[in-house]
Amino acid sequence: MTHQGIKVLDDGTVLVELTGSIYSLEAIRATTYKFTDRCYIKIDTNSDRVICVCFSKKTELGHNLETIAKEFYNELVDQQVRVDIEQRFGDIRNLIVRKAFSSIEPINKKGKSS
Amino acid sequence: MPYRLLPLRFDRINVHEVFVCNEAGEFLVLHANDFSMLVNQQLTSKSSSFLDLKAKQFLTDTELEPVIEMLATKYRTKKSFLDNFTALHMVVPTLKCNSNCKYCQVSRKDVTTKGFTMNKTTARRIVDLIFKSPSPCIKIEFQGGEPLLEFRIIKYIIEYAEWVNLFKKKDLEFVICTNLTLMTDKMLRYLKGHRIYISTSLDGPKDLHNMNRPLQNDSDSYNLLIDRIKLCRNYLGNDSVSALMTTTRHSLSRLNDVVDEYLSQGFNSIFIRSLNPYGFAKKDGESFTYKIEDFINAYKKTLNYIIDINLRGTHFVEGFATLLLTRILTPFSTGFVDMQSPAGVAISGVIYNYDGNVYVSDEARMLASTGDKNFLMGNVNNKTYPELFNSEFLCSLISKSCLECLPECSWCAYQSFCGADPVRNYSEQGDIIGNRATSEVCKKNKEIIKFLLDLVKNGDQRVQKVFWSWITRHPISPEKGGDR
Repeated sequence: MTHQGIKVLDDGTVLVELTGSIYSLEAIRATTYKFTDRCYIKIDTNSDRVICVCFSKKTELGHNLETIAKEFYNELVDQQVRVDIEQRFGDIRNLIVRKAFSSIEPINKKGKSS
Repeated sequence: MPYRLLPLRFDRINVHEVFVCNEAGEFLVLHANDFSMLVNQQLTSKSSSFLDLKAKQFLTDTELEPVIEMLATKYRTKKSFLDNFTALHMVVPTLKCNSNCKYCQVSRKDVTTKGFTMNKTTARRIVDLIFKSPSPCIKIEFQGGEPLLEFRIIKYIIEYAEWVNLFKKKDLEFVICTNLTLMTDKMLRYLKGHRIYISTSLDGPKDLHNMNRPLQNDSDSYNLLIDRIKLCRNYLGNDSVSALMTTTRHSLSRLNDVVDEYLSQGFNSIFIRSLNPYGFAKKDGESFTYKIEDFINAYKKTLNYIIDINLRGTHFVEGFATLLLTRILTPFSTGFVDMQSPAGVAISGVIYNYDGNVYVSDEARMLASTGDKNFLMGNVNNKTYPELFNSEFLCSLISKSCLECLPECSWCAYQSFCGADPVRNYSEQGDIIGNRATSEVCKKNKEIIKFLLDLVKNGDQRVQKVFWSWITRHPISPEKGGDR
């Protein structure tokens, strides 16, 4: 353990352990996606069902994995906010889109019946 | 009454500021503390941030239904480019070309090569299909090869299309995309009687243009081009000729010279276009390509140069910035084949090759010329309009090119201003969905959108006037110009 729950393993791989009760899997996946340009990433669970995100170096790139792991934590907070907002208010987006195209509903129904 | 949050996307610009944007493209830049209070529903109804957010429908403390109605109207307006289906129909009369452009995207054939030319049966079938499009506006754009090498096919298509249109009564226009070197007085006398626009290529000053776009039998294509531009203007009018440029590694550090060249040749706009990774450009990429970061930096510097030109009193428009600014600053719809959601492939623009093969975009045709026919819709000679345009293949492609459901794009704060290009994703990254973290197009679009938002946000009134003059295509009146 070096800093803020970030573990550096012997082979240089960096491991971050996350509590599922704080971060959703959706937020974790979206966050890891953003970092796929800088390193190889694996999401797994350990024996205690804790979510582990494993970062390893892309040989051609010289990024510092510990720095990436710290950035990952910050990004994860934002991603969780996005997920929370979507869960609480995403249904309104569906209402907006449905309302926006409500004028073509009769056309769709006509198309199906003819 | 506690307020209710409405759907929004956000991006942290820096430690102090957060950019928020909604489905309708309304946006605000909030202080990070205000953003935190917003999402935790702690803003007080008297704060200026609350009032700004309410005015732009990021939150509501009144009835929900009228707000949804308002957002739905704005959203529908933004997406109204979808109302009319395919308006742009590109036709390739021949693959033969007399140019020897170093970055050629279409893998042209030499002038002496036999075949690779459209016959009249295919041309007629194409026109019949074009007029099956429900769009009230039809633009037939002749591409190449060099289309003027088959002027008889151009004439045939123009005349047959005009005849069909006597009954269809659509808003019909034609564009010939040509290097102009083969244009003659006789051709122009013919074209003058029809609704024709000319789109040519000018890559910059003489040395740069000749380096990028030599002819097969002459290394100097520049003088001929300039001469023919003047000839076209004499016959068809000043506004009938537009030009496109492609940025290569050689022009990257000389984009101001390219702008000066456009000005000196009487053009009032330019579209600073990066190199596409197709055709010969991909094959001979080493000597012409560059890192996308280098293009972004060069683009920003050149845009500032163009803004200064406008501030000194010359109306001169940059096309890419204008497209984005129209999306950022107006409620209007802006379909753009290469950058809209859903993607414009086939539903906004489609291309008919010389052999009757129909591809979802010009880039798809370029891929096919390298042997990859993944985006071939079919052939006009054995498929009907519904079979081509209502196929499972096309529906699937379109459904996978909506930013609203693409990884990363779905929650990107800049989604309302951006677009998807599945063919580009496929060409660059091997699949139509693509990976945004490594996508050069994503990097370019996002950086340039953020750059423009920064210029808008920083509020130099003279720069705003320049932007509006681009959007409205009306020059700023002299007293409103001045140094920056």
